Amino acid sequence: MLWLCLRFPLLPLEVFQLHPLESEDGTEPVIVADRQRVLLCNAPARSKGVKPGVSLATARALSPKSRCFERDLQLEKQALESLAYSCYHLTPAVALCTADSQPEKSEKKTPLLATDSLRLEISGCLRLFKGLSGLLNTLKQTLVDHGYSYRTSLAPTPGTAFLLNYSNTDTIPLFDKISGKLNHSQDFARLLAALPLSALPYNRQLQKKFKATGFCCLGDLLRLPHAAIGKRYGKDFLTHLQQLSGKTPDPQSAITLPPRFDQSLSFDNTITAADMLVFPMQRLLRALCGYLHGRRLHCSRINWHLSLLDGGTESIVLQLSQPQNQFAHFLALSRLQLEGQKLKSPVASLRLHVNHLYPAAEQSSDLFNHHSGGREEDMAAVLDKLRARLGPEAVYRLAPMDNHIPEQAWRKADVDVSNSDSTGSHEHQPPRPLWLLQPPPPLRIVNHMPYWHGELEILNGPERIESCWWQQAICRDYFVARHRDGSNTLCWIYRDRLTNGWFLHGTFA
Amino acid sequence: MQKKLSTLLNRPDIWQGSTSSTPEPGLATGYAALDKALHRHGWPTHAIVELLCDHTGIGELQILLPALAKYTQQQRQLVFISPPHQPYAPALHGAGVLTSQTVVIQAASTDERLWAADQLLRTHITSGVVIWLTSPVKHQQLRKLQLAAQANKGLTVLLRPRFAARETSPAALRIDLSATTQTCVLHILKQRGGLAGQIIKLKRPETLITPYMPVPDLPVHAPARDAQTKNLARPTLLPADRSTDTDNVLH
Repeated sequence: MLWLCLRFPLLPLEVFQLHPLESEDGTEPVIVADRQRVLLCNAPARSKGVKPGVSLATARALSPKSRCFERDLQLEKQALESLAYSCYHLTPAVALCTADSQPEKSEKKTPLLATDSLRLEISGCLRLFKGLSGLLNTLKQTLVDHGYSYRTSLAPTPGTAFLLNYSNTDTIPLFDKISGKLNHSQDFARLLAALPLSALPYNRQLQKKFKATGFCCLGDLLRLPHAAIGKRYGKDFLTHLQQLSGKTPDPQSAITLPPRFDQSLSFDNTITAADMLVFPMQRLLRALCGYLHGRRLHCSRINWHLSLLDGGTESIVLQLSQPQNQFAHFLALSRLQLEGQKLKSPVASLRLHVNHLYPAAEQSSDLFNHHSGGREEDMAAVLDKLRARLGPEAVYRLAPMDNHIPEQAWRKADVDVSNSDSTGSHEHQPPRPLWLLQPPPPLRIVNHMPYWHGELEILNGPERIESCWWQQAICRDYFVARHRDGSNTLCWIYRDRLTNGWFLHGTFA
Repeated sequence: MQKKLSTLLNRPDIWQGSTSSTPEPGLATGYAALDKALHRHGWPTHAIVELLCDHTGIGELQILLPALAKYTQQQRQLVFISPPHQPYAPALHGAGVLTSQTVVIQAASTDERLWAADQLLRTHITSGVVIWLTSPVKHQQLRKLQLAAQANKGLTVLLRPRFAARETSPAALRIDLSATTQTCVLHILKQRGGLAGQIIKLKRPETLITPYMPVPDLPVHAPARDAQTKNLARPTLLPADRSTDTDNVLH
């Protein structure tokens, strides 16, 4: 067994970040407080003298312009979930450990250890990624996109991996780059024994007891006989220590992905312009893509819901021509839609939910035929883009229909549906114009001739079309006519036999 | 010196008159007379073809249709960007165009039309793209479109009003279109690498200009006008009312 532990030490702070780290707006001081004590602060706040642990009032006095947030465990859990979804493609055994996921025996008892982390069992997946270094590189790429700072540690048991995450020494060089085997087990034991107890996230009572007995590192505890530890620190702590060494099993519950994707982000009233939503959108879309990758699904429709501060809501629906799971494509479409949006009031929260999920269709590309490779997806992608900017009605395909009435002999077809052409031959039919005018404009009669921007001379006809006597009866005589004014345009005109009116129905382009 | 000269001559934007003797063959237009006048024996690819006409209905789309029909039959996409009227599916079908491969895009402004064309051409999907532009366009915009069209192995056609003939254009082929009573007249204004100034007359389809059916004395259906008096609106056969209009016009 080989466990990889991922810890995000700055997560409580980073979940409130609405801009990429390198942007200039990110330089304002930000403070996250937990029960009126500063938990974390960013570099600008630190330069003003704010430190973790000082009271919120002091911090506000030191840095009056800073933005203060109360720690949001729900938001952190959601961020960890989205990270877990993204890691799911590395290994199926991804355990998400948060304070509320720990099995607690009694409600009152505080857990021994704060355990916010992701734990991945990777020994079974090393070969897929061509060794440990390959897997770590893939992991790095996945996590860099999310933009949270993280620490990794490796160990044979999940508990040890978590504790070693607090160590100053990097554990990865202790393992073989390819096989993932421990190089020197002595080094490893020494490293574990040298961990200072004060740095580890044990609860306050335990820390007090350690201090009272004078133990300063984990090695001091590991040397003691089990009976003595059990007596002094309780049975749970003994189990915990035995789990560290692997003598007692330490079961981790792997995550299962939910059947639907639904996540949201809420903001204070800082989001006033649509383009400020791009970064939060990226976060949610990354979570979505991790989720889709993990479940091997594609989605065909994305729903964004914006709740505004004035109580209104706005929704943006992205309809995709083909189900897919590409982050860049989702983001480009969302941005295009956002460009057209005008926000009436600041955005309070942003929700992304996706219901239209399909199993990912594995497409095999042709080895020899270079014509078809990826072409359909490209076309679908560009049509999505066009629809996102020009509106869903602006892009359509044509489909002929079997109907005698000219204006009903075709319909607009959805671009997504690849309708097959009807095999019926139209070769021997009377002439039909390439342009159809809808609705047909009425023609004036001048000198006993139909008139439309000039006199029309009838060349050919009539072709009688008569149908629909059971509803709105249609009885028309169609003629081919030519403009006499020198442009020599050929038109398709008809006389309605029921009203005796003349109409222009098309031109022979 | 020789080396410098050869690198200069290898630049794609420098055109040499001497190389035009072996041009890359174009796409057959489907009209022998037109193929003969075009030095690549067909529509040029990787470039813009500009057709200038003021009126719809002089056969401006008809001259493109044989090449476009061949495209769709090879399962390639045909895209109309902002056609002046609704393209009529039965007529396209009759000309051999597969309507399942035909996409119509309606964009109001010139910028949006050019943007849509740019997006399509940059995907490197070999296709036929036909764009209608009604208002004046800046030269830079056309130049950008031309650069995008270089990626398209298919046909990129731009239809503009005739006043644009006075402006310069980066198009590889510019044809001015007009019509006589029987023919569609193509006047080649510019042909990159070939001769210009030819005038080609293509006959309009026979079925349009010559009567295919004599004027018959057809009866006409008319529904009962006064539905109040009769419970059922029953169609009745009336003798054809041959109005004076039709009689005058149809000789």
